[in-house]
Amino acid sequence: MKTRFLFELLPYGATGLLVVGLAIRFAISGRGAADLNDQIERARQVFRGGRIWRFAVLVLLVAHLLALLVPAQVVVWSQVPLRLYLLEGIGLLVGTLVLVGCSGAIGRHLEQSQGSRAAAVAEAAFLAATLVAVLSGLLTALFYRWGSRWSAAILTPYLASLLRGRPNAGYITQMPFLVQLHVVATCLALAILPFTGLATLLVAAADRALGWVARPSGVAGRWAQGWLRRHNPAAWIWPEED
Amino acid sequence: MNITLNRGVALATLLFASAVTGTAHGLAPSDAKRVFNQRCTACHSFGRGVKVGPDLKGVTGRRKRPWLLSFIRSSQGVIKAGDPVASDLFKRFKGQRMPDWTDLSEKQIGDILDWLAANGPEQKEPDERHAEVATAEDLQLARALFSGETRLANGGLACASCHTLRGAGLAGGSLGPDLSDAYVRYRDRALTMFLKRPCSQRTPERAEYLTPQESFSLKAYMRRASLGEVAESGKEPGK
Repeated sequence: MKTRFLFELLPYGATGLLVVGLAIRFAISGRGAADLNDQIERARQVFRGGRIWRFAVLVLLVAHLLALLVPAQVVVWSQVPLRLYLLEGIGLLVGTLVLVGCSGAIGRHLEQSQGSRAAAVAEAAFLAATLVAVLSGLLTALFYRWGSRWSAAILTPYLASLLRGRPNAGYITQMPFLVQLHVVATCLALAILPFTGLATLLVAAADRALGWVARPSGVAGRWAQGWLRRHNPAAWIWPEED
Repeated sequence: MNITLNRGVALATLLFASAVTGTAHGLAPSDAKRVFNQRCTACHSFGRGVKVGPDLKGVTGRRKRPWLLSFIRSSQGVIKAGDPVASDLFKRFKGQRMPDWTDLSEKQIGDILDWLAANGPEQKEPDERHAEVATAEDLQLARALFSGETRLANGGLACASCHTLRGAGLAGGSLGPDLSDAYVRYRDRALTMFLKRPCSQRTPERAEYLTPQESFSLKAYMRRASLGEVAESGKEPGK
């Protein structure tokens, strides 16, 4: 029962909360622009961190995504020992940077006194879950060598089974406690994310991205409007009214 | 009456079993052993004397191929046609009726007969050989398979992804146990059985994780490691 909850239901619950939560945050983000700016500023103080941290987080996310999308290629590529050591070494370095950055974010969160109590609690829970997820991932890499290879045959199929809608917890229950902790902590962090200041930053970024996407269509719309005004079809449909 | 009924039940059971497990259509020639074990060994031995039916050792020399094909497809048909050999066999084996294997193609039956002619049932699978008879080539293959330099035939993950083996070159993984003393701990037969199945749930999910040759080579490689003889190159000491 515990296994089913943790490794079959929790991932779906967490993803559902993440998607719905972010959608709601995005929908209500237009109200009270001044308040939103304050929220963004507060979130930036906690989550922005240094450039190296942001880069390390990006590398870590991309590496996890690659392991999920092209596991066989990752295994084949790392067949050469030197590449394997390089991959695992970079992974450890990046993981350590993310861990340090995460600890810094926790420190900044503790120093911050503004904001609602509920948001502060959600943010503390999110940072704690993220810290556990990063730390357990790092310890897994240290104690259970060549995660970049075995994860392709064990963890990726588990994630694929979740994506296919037929979760197979058998893959994950055979794994050591640290790996299970990594999965559960990641799910919890994703579930809490919409209630934190990080969601504010993500919503603001999505808003800006949508603005960029909408800009060319706005330009095209204005050009089409001008063209229609100059070549008004009414002129040749009803010439007598000219 | 009872005997007839029992034979009918036995025949129906055999046919049902073949329907459930056999799925003979489209079998590859290499499956001759599997089909033989599923369908023939309940009543026939190979070189171990009479069971319910005759010992099949040397049967391809005693009978002609067309006769064997007809008899395997429909023994009763051959008996009813008045074939003296078939009638004699029927009498000698107390009227035991052999199931009609009509679902097997001529080629499939031919493959089984070829396999019997080559004394197939008496041949050991490569992985059932004792590890001490492994050659330098077997160990060289094992070294490449263990490290992942050569891919496993069934697409599985190389052993070194999760395991370490003393003296195997590339630093092995530490998710699974260190296999350096596995041979001494489990011995040949237990390791042979163990290597028939994957050691964890993972992809590709199939029963045959290693081929018999891969399994034998890796077992031999573990033996060498257990005895402290695996050199960095995988070559046997002194060679």
